[in-house]
Amino acid sequence: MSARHSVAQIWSEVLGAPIDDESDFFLLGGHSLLATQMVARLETALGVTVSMREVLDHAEFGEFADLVDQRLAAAR
Amino acid sequence: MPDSVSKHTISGAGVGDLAAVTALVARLTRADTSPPRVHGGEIVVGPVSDDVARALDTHAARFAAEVRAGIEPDDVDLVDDAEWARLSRWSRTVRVPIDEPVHRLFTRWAEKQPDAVAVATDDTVVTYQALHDRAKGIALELRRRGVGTGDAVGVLAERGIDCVAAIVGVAVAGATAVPLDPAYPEPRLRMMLTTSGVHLTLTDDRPVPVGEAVSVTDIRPCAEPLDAATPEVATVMYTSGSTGTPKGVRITHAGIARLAGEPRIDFGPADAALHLAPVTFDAALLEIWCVLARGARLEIAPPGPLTLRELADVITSRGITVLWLTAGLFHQMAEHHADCFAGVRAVFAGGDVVSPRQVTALLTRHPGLTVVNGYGPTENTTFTTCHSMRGPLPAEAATIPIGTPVANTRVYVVDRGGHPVPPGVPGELWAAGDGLAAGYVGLPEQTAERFPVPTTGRLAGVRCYRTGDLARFRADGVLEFLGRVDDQVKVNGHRIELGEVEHAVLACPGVRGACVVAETDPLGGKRLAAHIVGDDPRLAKAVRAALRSALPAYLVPARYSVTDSLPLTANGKVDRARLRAGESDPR
Repeated sequence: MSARHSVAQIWSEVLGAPIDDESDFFLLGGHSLLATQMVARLETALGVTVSMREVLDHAEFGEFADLVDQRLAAAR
Repeated sequence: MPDSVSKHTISGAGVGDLAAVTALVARLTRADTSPPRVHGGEIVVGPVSDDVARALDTHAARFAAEVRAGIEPDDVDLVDDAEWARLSRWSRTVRVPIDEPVHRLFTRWAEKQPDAVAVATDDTVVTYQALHDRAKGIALELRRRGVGTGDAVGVLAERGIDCVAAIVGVAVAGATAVPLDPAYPEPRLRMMLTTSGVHLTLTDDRPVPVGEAVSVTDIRPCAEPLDAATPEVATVMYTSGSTGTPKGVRITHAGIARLAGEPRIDFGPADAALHLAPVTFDAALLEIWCVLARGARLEIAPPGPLTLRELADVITSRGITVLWLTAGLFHQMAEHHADCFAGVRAVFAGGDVVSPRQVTALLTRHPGLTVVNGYGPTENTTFTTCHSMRGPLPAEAATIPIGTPVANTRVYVVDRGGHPVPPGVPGELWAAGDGLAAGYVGLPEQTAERFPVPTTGRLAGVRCYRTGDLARFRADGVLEFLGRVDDQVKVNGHRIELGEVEHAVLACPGVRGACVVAETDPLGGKRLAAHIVGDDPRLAKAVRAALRSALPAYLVPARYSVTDSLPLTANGKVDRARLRAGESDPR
């Protein structure tokens, strides 16, 4: 399973909505406590650390998934 | 809630008293049950709770007699002298001195333990003496600039030492602090500054939209003693207002002093307390003043939002022993980072309903830990009641009580007319005592409405605050929270008037109608959802952008849907239940 797919699944779980690249975390039901949950789940699933600021700045799924991909690539 | 009695026969009142008994039942149930009827020569009512049934048995005969004697049914007492004595005893709390404002208590600690750490961040520590000198320097500068006793002074700074120093400095100067959040949009800051009459704002080196900005980073400390008169009002804190305009609550020094004196907030010189709450919220009064007035160390969390892991790291690496967490965050920390509480002595949680499951799990894991459920509206200065818990809870605990009143505070459970109801019967919670705010800034009518002084009945002459919360006394005098009397909601610990958010949505171009609801999110928390009547699905993004530039983040809905029309109930009102997620999405 690709990392992107895992990230989409986590978003879908915490938002309770289907996700595509244009999905905006803060339009689909995301708020600060769901963002902390999403970040915690991401850490557990992929070992990637993302700050709350980065979630706010990458609210669209496509951008956020790119950020996670970059971070994973940098860690390799 | 207590068990419901399906049908109850009224003893002590004859069928001729049906009108009086009907009035009594309406007052004891907030008109939330079907009216009594005559059945087989007796008056029958139901279903009602055990407590209401007991109250009817106790009071129906007396109530009917008083109505026959010509007293208006709405004016008859709902409690007898014995019950009133019991209710008063439950409301009699510890009395603590409030003559000395908290910043004077801080000054005494600065003299007593000048070298103890007062505030710290991850890279800086400031001693009691150094913070005191900084605060005096700020106070001197305010005085030099013509700030007088009780003048409103803004504080606009991110969470940090400068912000705390500014708040203490304003108090030492004898001025009134108006805390502001740099993350708030400019129109909101402008409104807060204008309505509270701020001409000068202390900052951590940033501009302000209205009036003069004075950076505290440039102000030199002052080692000389400095004293100023203390005004009645210590600070103004804004809460959401149902008509679309937020209300500035004028919190008094007496209110904060009684909070700092409360025995269950037992911070002392050995404690390290976390400062995490935004200074615009009354939880920050607990964090800052109950710590500095009690000689403890204030450990300031880094500015900006933190992840759960970052917060857990702060708690463990700084050796936090006492902290406040809003209910939602408390639940998440208990669930994901329960180990970070290993060194914690007491955690205060509240601002919303606290889950017994999380409390039990935490207390079982950390037998030495105390969890305190802190309850109270801003208008009664942070806490009105507290409930302190140690060891695992009884297995049957379905809810966490809100407890008993804090020092110098009285609580009353009343009917719609403001008359105390018998023990156990649900009613609106009213608060009285030294914690009451002086009112709302520039809103005399709303102040009079929310802070009534009854002229008749058991509470005659007592200035009260109507919390709008429903509560009941348990048999042991401990209060249980039962919900709201209106549609104010709590989301993530923030008190929100849905009307204020709806006003802002309706102000957006292209919006023909709007309904904002609080709904349960997929992980069991709460969030706001905006349902917008309009033609273009892209309106969702535009509305969110507009709200973000007008409202604090906590008032901006998380979920948006654009629809042709809002669902209506049979009565023609917007069907709010159907708009909550999962129940029926209109699009």
